[in-house]
Amino acid sequence: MAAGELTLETPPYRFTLRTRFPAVSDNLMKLYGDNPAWAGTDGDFHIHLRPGRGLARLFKSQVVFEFDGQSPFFPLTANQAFPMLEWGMNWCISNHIHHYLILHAGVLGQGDRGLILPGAPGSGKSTLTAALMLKGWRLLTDELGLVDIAGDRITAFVRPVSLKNASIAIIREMAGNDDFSDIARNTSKGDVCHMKPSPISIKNAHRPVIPRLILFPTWQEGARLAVTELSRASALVRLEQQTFNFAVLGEKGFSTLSHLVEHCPALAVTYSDTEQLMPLLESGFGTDHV
Amino acid sequence: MSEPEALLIRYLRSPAQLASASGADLQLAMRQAEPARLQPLLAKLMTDAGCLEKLPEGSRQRLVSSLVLADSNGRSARWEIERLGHALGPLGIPLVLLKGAAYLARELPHSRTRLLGDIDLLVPRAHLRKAEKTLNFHGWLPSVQTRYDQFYYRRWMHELPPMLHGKRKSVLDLHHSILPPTSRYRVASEAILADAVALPGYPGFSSLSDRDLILHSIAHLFTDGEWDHALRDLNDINQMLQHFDNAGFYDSLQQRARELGLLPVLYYALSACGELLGNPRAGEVAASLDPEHSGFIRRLTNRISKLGMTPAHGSCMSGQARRAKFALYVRGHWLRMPLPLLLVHLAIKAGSQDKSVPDV
Repeated sequence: MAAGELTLETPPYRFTLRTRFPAVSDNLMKLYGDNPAWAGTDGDFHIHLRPGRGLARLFKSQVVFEFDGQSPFFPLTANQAFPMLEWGMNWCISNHIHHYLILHAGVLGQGDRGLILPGAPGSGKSTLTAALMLKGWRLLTDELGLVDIAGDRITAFVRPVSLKNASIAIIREMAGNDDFSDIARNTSKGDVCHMKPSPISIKNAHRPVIPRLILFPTWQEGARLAVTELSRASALVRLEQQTFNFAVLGEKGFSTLSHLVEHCPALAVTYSDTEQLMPLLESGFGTDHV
Repeated sequence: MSEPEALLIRYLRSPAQLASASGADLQLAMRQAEPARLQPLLAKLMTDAGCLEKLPEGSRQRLVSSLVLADSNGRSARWEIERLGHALGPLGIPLVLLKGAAYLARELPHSRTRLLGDIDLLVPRAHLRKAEKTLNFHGWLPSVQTRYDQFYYRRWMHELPPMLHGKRKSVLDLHHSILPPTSRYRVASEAILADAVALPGYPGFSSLSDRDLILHSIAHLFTDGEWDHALRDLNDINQMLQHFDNAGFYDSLQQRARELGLLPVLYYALSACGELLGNPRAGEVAASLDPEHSGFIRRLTNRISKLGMTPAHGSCMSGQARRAKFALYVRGHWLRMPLPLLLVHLAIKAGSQDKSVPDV
């Protein structure tokens, strides 16, 4: 990608990106190379990543995130330009879209059946999401679950999976390929690396899923598998803590979540190894109840 | 004006043009509306014009979502007002809602498409301390600021430093006057309070009278240094002018502006509503007014304030518009304080490396 503007489609949204950071262009090529992109300015969200101005740039090279006349974040050091773009793209959606109830969750699919992995930080949500994608599940999102207001469908928003610290090496080894961004060291979240969605995920980016299981993961070193079935009320309260716009949607937000927990069982699991979860997931997804 | 005008302003002036606009132009107007905080209004105008379908799906979702947000802001604000009534009601003092909260409580049409952040509440100066203590007791606490900021607000401003509710994180601006006591425009708070009208549905609360509501908005916009949301504020004024317009309203408005010493700013506001927002009635009245300013000052102020209305978006912020916003920033400070006081204030702010000066 040359310096200039490019519009990138990650359904259901289009981003028009402008940057002169070569590392950003390289990582974009690597992770979004199979997405439709064109030289145009017809994106729904326009992002400009520009070098910092002023005296500070004499001491360290900085990157500033600009979005339609605003700079919502503090500048970061230039090595974090690509993660800043990813975080900023997520911010654009979570702060501007109320067409869906947005869950902070990984969502995966098998056919039209969806698995929701709501994640508090440290729950291992992203690692589990990445591991399941490598086992052939279709990635819908690693971060922003777009739940239809009716509460019965989740729209895919297929974007790279964000990996942190120790999970980077684990997932890289599991993947055995080179579909990863450069590692940005010493960010506010530690080391950060983004992983390209699998081809089947990108190919099915227009296809929603029907939620079939909600799994609240807790990763704990050395833990034996422990599974707790959650009541609908308890699932609703836990989900609400992982929403971006529950309050903005008001009554609708409540009815969306109610519908979701009425029609979809929820489990809390503690685990130390993804393999422990496989029998559970296969039995929960193996039979089609529809 | 030599620079091309922002699309957003053109569509606000003549919404009829929306029907024949291209998808690309509509998308650009949507982006300009973001920093101007006018997305909900644009969403409504485009819905009425039946042209939402021309936007790509993602942009349509984004624009329509702003209406959901405006609704949510309104709901939260009604709850905050209810809580304020619960806290302050027992004091039995006048509680006058200002600006966005007042538009909302009065159910003025433009409040439905208006994003609302802080709640502004006016109490008589004599009761200010009591009101502040009571609010502290009910969970509204001073937002973190430097000691100088605290001193500055309390000594020189018409409002206390913003208060933040500890649990709900809502922001309250508690006013004791509508303009700073050092402002060139001195408005007698007593006169404004005397004319306040009770708000049905909000026991204990009142709103400024129709004409004072407009004049307050005008005085605020045209004496302030902060012009980022100026177009939104002008739209508030314009929509209220149209809503309250009946036989004799403009005469009564002029009369009141003269009493309060706000004739010059009324002139600039009406003139901008006429020219930028296509309100011919406002334009005619402006032309008939004597704003008590020399022709040179009048032309200059008209020109920079119209440029200052430009949405702060890269696609329409020309060099001229940038310079105009800076000039208005300086002008705002100039009007707010006598020069010696201003110099001391700016020196202290410069020394404290506060980043409140806009990037120009």
